[in-house]
Amino acid sequence: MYRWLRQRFPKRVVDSTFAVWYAVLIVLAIYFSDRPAGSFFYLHG
Amino acid sequence: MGDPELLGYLLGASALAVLATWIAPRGARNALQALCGIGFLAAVSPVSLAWLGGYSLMSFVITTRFAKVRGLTATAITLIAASYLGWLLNRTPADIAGSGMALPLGMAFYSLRLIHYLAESAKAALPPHRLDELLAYQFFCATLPVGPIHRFGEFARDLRRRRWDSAEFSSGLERILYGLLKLIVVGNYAIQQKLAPWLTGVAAQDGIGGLYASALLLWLPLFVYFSAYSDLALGFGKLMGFKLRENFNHPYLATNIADFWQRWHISLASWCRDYVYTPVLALTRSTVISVTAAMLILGLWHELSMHYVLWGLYHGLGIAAYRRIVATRPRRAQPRLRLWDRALRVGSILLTLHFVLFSFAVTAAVELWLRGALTQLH
Repeated sequence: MYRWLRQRFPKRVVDSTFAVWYAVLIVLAIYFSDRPAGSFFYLHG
Repeated sequence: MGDPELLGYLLGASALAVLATWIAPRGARNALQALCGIGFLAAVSPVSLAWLGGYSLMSFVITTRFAKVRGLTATAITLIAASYLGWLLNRTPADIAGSGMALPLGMAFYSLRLIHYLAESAKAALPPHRLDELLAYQFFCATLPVGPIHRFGEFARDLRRRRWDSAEFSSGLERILYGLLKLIVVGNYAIQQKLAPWLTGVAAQDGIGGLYASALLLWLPLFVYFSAYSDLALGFGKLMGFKLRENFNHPYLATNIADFWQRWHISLASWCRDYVYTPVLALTRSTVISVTAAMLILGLWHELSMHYVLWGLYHGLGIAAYRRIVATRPRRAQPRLRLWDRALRVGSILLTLHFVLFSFAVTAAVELWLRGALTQLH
């Protein structure tokens, strides 16, 4: 879909739209995760 | 400090570094990017900040002012390696079990990056660079905690050539999203909350099921979390205009053990190839010795213990044996049936998977046997 959209619409507009969409999903993922697995950091220091 | 804060600091510092990359004046970008990493370490691991800062400055002075002083680079490399091994030696079993900070954060990774930087300087293979570029490399916050162990030459090239690219930016955010989903949904929810309790129960039982469950309990979270953090690092790298090397390439599809190490923790395996395997091969002219030495160092990098010595030997001798078999295998005169080739491929994948899955169990059994034999000798 990404390629299809990029062929038909201005590339920057498509990229920016996808970037905003991903950013929203990232914020939601961080907001709703109550147990981030940071403990992995300690495995190898 | 609790774990959520650590991840939060990493995401926050990396986001600030992205902002600094594209908003700050060109002349201040590298310094600001380094400052984000410095701030992250100051918040979560001041010991790491002191070590990495001190060794980075020392390395810069050596490579720019005293590069021709004989033995100085080798001394610095030895000092860094000894510091890291010293930390490993001082770890207690409680540290390793995860009840506290086992090592200064990211030390396992930045020590190898420092050694790479000094070794390339000794080979006169480093591009001309400034201190702010080295600090931007060493304090690149996305790769500070768990790698990948990226290379200075490639980093410095991207540092100078990077331009805003909306497609790369979008692709970077997509990669970060995948990493977070892997971390939160697959790692935390599916594996830790749902699968791990069941696997723990199965692992407590005797028999083949228990063996498989123990191996999966070890490897599954390791792969998912490690590759998730690599996704985050690569994603943030893209947001800042860097093309970092991939760290994982479907390792569970490896058809032999040599192939596995070209798919699993690729940045560490390629570091060992360049800085252990190649020099030892040049010295000894023996692929068996050099590959065993490389895997031994790779094992010791994880932990300074008898178990990891055996684990390194297990993998090193495994690769050497595989190479010997391939070298002595007669070449096929006629192509085989496609179905047979596919069956062979599936068989190879399963065999490799089992070789890796049970590597810890096999080496633990050998270690137990060795300790028993040594006790009897005394």
